Amino acid sequence: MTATRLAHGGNIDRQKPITFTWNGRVMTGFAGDTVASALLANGVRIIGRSFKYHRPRGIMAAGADEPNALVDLTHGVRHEPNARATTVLLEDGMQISVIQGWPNVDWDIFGVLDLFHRFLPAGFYYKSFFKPNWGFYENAIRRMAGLGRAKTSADRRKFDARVDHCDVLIIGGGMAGICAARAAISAGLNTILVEDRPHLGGRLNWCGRVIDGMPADQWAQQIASDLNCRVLTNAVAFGYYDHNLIGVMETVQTSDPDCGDARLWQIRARHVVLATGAFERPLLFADNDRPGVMLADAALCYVRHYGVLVGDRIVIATNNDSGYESAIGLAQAGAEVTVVDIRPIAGGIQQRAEMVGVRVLPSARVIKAIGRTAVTAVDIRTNRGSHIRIDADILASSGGWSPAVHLFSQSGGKLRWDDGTLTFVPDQSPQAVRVIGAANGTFDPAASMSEAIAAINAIAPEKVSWSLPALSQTEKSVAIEALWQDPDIIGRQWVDFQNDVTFKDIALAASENYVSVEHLKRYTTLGMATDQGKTSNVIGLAIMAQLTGREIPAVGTTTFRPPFVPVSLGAMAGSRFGPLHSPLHQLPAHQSHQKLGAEFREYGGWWRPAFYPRNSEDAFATIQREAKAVRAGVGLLDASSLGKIAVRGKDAAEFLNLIYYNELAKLKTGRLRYCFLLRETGVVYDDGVVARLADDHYLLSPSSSHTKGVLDQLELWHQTEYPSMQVSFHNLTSAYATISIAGPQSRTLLARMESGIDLSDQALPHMSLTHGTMMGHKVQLARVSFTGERAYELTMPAGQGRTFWEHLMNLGQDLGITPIGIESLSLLRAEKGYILIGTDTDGLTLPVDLGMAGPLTAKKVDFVGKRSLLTPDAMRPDRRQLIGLRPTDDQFVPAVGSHAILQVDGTRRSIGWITSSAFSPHLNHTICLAMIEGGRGLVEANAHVTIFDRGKTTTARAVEACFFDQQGVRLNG
Amino acid sequence: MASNSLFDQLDLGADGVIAKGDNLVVRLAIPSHAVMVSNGHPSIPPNRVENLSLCKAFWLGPDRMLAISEHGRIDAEFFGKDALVSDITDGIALFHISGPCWREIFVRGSAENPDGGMLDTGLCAQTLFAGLDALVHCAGPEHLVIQIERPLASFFSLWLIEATKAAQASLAAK
Repeated sequence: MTATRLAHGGNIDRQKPITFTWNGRVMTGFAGDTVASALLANGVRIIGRSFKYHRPRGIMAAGADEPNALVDLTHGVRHEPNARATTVLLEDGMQISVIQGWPNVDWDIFGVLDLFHRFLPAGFYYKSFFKPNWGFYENAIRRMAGLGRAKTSADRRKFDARVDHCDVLIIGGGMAGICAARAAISAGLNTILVEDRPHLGGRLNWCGRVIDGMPADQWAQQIASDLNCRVLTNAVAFGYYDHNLIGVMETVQTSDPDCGDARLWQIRARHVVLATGAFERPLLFADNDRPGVMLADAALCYVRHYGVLVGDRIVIATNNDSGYESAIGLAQAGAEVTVVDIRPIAGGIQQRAEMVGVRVLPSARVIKAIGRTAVTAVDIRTNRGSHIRIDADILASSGGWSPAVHLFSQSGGKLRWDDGTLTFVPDQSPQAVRVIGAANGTFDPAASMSEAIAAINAIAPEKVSWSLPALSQTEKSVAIEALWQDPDIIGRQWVDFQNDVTFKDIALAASENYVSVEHLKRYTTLGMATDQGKTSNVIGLAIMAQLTGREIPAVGTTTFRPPFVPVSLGAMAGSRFGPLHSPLHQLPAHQSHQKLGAEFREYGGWWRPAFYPRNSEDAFATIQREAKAVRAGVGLLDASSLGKIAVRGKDAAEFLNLIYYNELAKLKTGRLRYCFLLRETGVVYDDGVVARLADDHYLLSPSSSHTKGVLDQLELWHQTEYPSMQVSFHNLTSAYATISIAGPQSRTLLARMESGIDLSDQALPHMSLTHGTMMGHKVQLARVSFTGERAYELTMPAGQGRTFWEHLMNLGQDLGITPIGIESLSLLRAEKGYILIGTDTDGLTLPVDLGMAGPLTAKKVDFVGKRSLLTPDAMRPDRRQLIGLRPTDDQFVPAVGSHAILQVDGTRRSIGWITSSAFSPHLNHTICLAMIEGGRGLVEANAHVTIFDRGKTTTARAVEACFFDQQGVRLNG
Repeated sequence: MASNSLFDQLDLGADGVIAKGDNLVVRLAIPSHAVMVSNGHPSIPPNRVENLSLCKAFWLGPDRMLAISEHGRIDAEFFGKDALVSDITDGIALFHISGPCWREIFVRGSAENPDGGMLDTGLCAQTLFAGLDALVHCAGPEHLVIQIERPLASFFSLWLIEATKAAQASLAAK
């Protein structure tokens, strides 16, 4: 017998049939079904194969606690490799298939592994596969185990993400949750209610109670329709973060293939009320993982909420009264039900069960499920000690309830053991959170409602003005009786179904002294699967306590971390991919560079042309061509990203002299100086040119990626150490565009701009600046070079950047004007030995390592980092120093990062590394910059060093870092 | 509105509209003139927006403000002879989000509570919006203005288009 869809009942819309496929087979369900309920209704029993042993598995639960029913789901562009069938709502056209099992899930060839289970205990991979090595076996093992596979194609869907705020966030829309929401609204609180199922009510939808004289599910829907607050259904709170920030993932229906099917909410709440309910625990018996073994409450949920009767002959094993609720519901739906209760007597509910035909076996326990691909019978040990076998097609179990304390624990809350309910319940949390109902270990409905009202009264400025509904009388209950593992049971008993962890694995861990809960978890993988051990954690801890003779609280609990349920990376990313991946600054002349065919790359947060390939040129050829053009004629570089920080005030000179390594107070107006900015440690943080515009006015030009950092440094020192100095800073980088014009023809080109600015070397020598008007706009013209050629930086309002760029390109046609990108600039500057901070330097580089020792001795005033430069370490002669390297093979370009090595006692020792390398088209050989121990001594000795590049060695001669025009004739002349 | 290549860059029409939806319009505006002022007067209380002659002044820090004019140039002398006044007209972009559904955009860009007081009349806030440094204020009922660095205008426009789509889809589903 397999499950059947009942003719009536259930919260499904029978007028809306839905077609889907299961492993290619066409099936039908109804709107309101989950994938799991639809599969059950279509007679599917084996839904997958287990992670390790490839044993057949069936559906066990009806919610987020399901360990077995992970399926591969494709629906249009949507693909989920490990969708939990019990939480995914069925939609028309869904293609659902198994994630394990070959050639098919019913006959899986790897099922043979189960025969060798004795050789595959917990941690077997720590003890075997040493020869030849683990890697030899790894691929095959990973192929056999594991979960579903993600597609290799990109998911281009954009997911929505948003923020919300409220006075009280109630998580869980069961009875306690909706009572709390109703109370919070009546107390005037801005309330948000989050529920992971499509309908509010939780267990009220299938428990069969009567509230206010109506069926509980109807009462829940009536209350829900009156809730005047934001209610998020199909939304799971997956993470509880600091300051009451809750992450919620809402499933949304969309027909737009570009839109994702989830929305991420970040909800900041003044108060959080957790009404997250509880998870039913299974009982342990031999072969308790067979298809047809399931949780008792899940069986009840399927029959009452989805109209699916899971079997004809059902045995319910229990140690508490809630197993009887399921028995009654299933018997009323037509099943033949037997309850096997370990207790000698149950509560008043036993009589009610017997009245609807349920057979009860007191003081008895299930010891084994019979059947391989489906339960066919159940072995039971009776109260007299005899064994009987009952034919059955479903074996449901109820081993008590574990409060869903995951979010509470994530909030930083501590748990305590409660002997009455045999479970961990919430204790104290450092955050403003209250836990109510089953999540708090309160399983009595009336008490849950009272807790909800009390929780809201405790946080609301106005008292709750809503009276509790009347509950139907319930029978007196009898306490749960502990049954973790029966030592007399022979056979394998599963604790963690998803990771295939058995009682024997825990016993092995205990015998090998992995008795700490954290060791137990990592050694056996108990609770580490995608279900995070929702059905297994407490049982595992209890068994460890039993095996080691400790109390359960002494074993402790592991840490619950977000997410509570798996969350897709796409939903977390939202729309942040492609052009929205990270906010990159765009140059004012971006469109002009696009027209010129620039290849853009990110440099320091700016989207800049790397180079401008022509026709079919590759990157190398383009860079070589651009570099040659600059040395031969004129090149144009968009340098708008260079920092522009205005510094002004009566104390500007004195302040900058304190901050910068170089002398700036004596810098003449209209002149520029290349400077270092150091950290307190003396390490070079940034370099750049500083211009003096007036006695009290400077303009700093930090590197593109350091502009905000430099500004922060200025503000930090001003506000914390020198607040009395009169000086102010403005970052003008975005407001102005800068075009660098470099090459022997640069002055000719500039002269064509007809600005009237005197461009003679006398009026505008290297490292000076002036102002004027060009094309009707005020401009600043600085003569400064990063290429070693005569060069100018022309700065104008950013809005004119594109116009100026295009005008200059037109004016320079006959001069062979060439737009150049960052890569050719980097080659040109390396030829001159000019450094790039962060490329040629690192977090240990001092000015003296770069050959700039002058200011340390010449500058008379104190400055940031000075003391560090005078320490013995800073003056060690064997510090790594910047030098040039010329490889013996002129054509070979070693990779940046290649080490210079010494052979010491047969082993290699690094004495430094290459920081920049390129083939110089002007010198016709390779050039390298490198940071090498005692580098300057090597240059003086004309020594050779050995370069170790990706497994090969070569030699290079130590030379001066400046390879080109060492006298600076081209720069100044 | 100043003539500027930014509109061309973003491929916008003369009205600067970036995205439209039901009860929602997102528009880019370029100020006529904007200056950053340090060490000048008048002093503005923290997080306030003040209406000065010809311009609006936004508090940026204890001795710093941003003055924006929609109609004409701002006279630097106005702020006093010791003030550092820098023209940043071409460095900022103003995005106007208007209509009853403006909150739907706000909640997708900011972690702040739009009803928490920071957007009350006469206030401005320096905050992260869509991951960018932004200056945010309400210019009137149902009228949010977000100022960001101009080099990020293209990125922000794309973000606004996506946010508007998401907001519309969300509203339609209600």
